[in-house]
Amino acid sequence: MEERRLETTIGKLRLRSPLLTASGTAGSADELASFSNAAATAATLGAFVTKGVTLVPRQGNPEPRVIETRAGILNSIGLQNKGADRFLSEDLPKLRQYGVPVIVNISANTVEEYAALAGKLLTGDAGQISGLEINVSCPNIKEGGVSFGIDPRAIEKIVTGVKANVPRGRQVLIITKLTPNITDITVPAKAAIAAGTDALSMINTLRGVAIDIRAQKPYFANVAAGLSGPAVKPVGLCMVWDCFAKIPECRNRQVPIIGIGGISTWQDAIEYLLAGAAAVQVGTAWFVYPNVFVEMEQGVRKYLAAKNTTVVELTGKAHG
Amino acid sequence: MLPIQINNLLARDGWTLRDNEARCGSRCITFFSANRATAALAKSLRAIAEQDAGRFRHISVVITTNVEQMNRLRAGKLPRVFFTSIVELESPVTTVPRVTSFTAKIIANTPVGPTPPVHYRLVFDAPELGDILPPQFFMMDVLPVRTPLGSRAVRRADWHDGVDWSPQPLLKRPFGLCRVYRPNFPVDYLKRLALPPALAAVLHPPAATRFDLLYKVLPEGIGTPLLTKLRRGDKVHMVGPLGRTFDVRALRADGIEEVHIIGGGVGMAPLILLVEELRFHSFPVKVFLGMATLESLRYRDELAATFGEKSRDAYIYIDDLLAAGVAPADIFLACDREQPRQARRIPRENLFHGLVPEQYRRFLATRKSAGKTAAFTCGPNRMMEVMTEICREANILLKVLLEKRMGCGFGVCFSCVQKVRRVDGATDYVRVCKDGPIFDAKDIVWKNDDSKQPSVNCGCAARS
Ligand SMILES: Cc1cc2nc3c(=O)[nH]c(=O)nc-3n(C[C@H](O)[C@H](O)[C@H](O)COP(=O)(O)OP(=O)(O)OC[C@H]3O[C@@H](n4cnc5c(N)ncnc54)[C@H](O)[C@@H]3O)c2cc1C
Ligand SMILES: Cc1cc2nc3c(=O)[nH]c(=O)nc-3n(C[C@H](O)[C@H](O)[C@H](O)COP(=O)(O)O)c2cc1C
Ligand code: FES
Repeated sequence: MEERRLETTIGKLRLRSPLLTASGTAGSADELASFSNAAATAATLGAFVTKGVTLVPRQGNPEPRVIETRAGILNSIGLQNKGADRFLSEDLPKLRQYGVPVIVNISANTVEEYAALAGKLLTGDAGQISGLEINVSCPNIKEGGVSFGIDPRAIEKIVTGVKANVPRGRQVLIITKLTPNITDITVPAKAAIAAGTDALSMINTLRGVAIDIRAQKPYFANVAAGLSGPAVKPVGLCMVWDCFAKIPECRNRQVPIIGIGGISTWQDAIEYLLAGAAAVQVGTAWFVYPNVFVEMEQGVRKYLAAKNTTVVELTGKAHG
Repeated sequence: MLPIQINNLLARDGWTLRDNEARCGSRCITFFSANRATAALAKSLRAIAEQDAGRFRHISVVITTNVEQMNRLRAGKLPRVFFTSIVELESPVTTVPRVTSFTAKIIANTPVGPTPPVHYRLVFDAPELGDILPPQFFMMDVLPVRTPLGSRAVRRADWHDGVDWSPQPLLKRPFGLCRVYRPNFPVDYLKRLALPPALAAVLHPPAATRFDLLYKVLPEGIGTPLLTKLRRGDKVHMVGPLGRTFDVRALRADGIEEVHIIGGGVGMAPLILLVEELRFHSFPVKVFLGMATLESLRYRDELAATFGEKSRDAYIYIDDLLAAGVAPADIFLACDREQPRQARRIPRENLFHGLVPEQYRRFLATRKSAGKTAAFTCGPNRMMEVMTEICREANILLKVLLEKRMGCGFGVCFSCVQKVRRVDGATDYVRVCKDGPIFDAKDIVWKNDDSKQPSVNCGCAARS
């Protein structure tokens, strides 16, 4: 019982802990390995979500790429990564050494590219990838660069395309990661569910701007950047709440929700579970406090023991 | 114990080894096996240290069977002693220290230069950084320990004036280390050491426990003005050691005979640690220091730890270099706002009115011996760019220590990127925190036209 309190399931994937890394904030294995608490941290993880992988390598955006804000950070990294081929040959084997399921976050600029990327990863991974998390916050270059994430039809097409490219007989969790830059989060959520996503994760970063008052110009070359960190927690929590409350598939756990956004302490993680998340991802907090997973797991464990409950029972409990 | 290898090592430098003792003139090295009972070992070592009275004529070396055992002993409380392991005697090993997150205790936070001070020397205890190697760095909070990510009011400097009821700065700030202090070792032990290079290559001093850093208060910065409020006894959260290490033994393998260090402003700070490392390996070092004025280096040092005296009027960098055993004649000082007056025993001809790259250029033009030279620089970007040009013309291998805005400091966020030229001519962004902070100057693309560095983003301008 003690050991199993933390267990949770996302689709068909059973996780020993509800704590996951958030894409783009946990590196790709070497970085975790450089820590003296690497093994302890890995032992607290339910799954490792990789940084965003694209079909071909990407250089990323010019500097500056990060600006600190009050209780948060704005980032404009531009998905710098070495592409699917090198991810498969260099990073994936290293990630597997921790014995934690690997979920690959995928990004693309066209519907076809998402599907092709999924196909490439799942045929070249020797069965090592447990799940794909589709990042739909990317700009759709065929539609003048508006985010796929605000276009329910585009989301449906992406999810359908990705699922079609999963090799026959392969068990892979398909998660759709939603953008919060939208009025009603349940609209894209329902679209992803209609197209057959196994789970939803939310939220990605919020759009934000910073201006250099000395130069009287925006800091970032792309003007808008992505806000994350403690500042966004209430927003993420609200979106998890809304999906759980308003979407029957979420409420009956058929399509579980992974909560993301500003989670920095074990209390934050519990709040997300109570709002309806079956698991959570921790991003920015890890930058600031590399011991965060170890301490968060201890806190969650104590809370569960004190309330004599489990993660599964806690999910959505605040809805009554 | 493997006296045979040691004998071979020392023979090349004219030392000899009889039984377990090596003598060179009046100098003597004694080897102990770590397998001896620790109490008996400590007793012998204490006797030797007392007899020697800090002169380093008599060096004790403890040989362990493996690196783990060595590191355990290095972090322990043995009297003055160096360490090596059998493994290392057979072939050099380089261990990159693991990153930890920990809490350091502040010992002193002393203003430097005329008031209002722009530079501070921050001394702290942090055994967790014990194995840090130059030019590694670490990340630190700018306010004392808190519950993780909790909030409290902070007062901001300058045009942020007024109370800001927002949470304290979220991100840690990156800093290099200026000096390290080792238990049981005199702070200026390098002055008297002069190890044969082959022996230095396999010896390790005990792990350091106390450190200092020099920081510059950025007038429009949020974090560095808050740093000035730290007091003795405060506990501050840190993460490190971070970044790549630079193995100075590689310089020996490359046939480098002389090393030049060129530092601009607060960029000199991390280079001091490198100088210590170079001196440990007995490299001839010449140091070129660029500052606004001589006065900006002056401060009152209240710590016995820094220079071995109770309190004194000190010059940052200059006294640190002298303590590391750099001869006054090998220190060069350029001030861009005045003709520098006499400082310590630095020869007059080493004092220059102008910018440090210019002084270095003139030095190179007139120097007589030109053995194979390597140079290291850190300072404002513009200065490092000029240095790259000078060294390219003089055919000197130049390494640069870079600074970038950092999110995490350990390689996960890709925010600290520098554009570099690859071998195939294409450009790439590399992470300063993980792939650096040390780079070959020739690979750096200095003119980053698409870069829009905010004006507040320079921590180490020579203007102070
Ligand atoms: C590897 C490394 C070693 C360094 N060593 C030293 C040192 O020994 N002494 C010293 O005085 N300074 C050093 N710096 C620079 C120092 O980190 C910055 O001056 C400091 O972070 C400014 O903080 P702030 O909050 O006052 O500035 P703000 O502008 O308010 O900071 C906002 C954000 O920008 C970042 N930032 C601003 N300027 C810099 C900069 N120049 N470099 C990196 N990040 C910056 C801050 O860390 C913070 O996240 C080093 C930087 C790096 C990368
Ligand atoms: C530096 C950085 C890089 C990120 N990269 C990605 C990415 O590649 N793909 C993605 O889906 N989300 C990415 N994100 C978003 C995070 O995964 C997460 O959704 C968001 O930061 C909110 O969580 P947090 O407040 O815990 O950081 C990134 C966030 C940051 C700060
Ligand atoms: S600061 Fe995060 S990658 Fe360098």
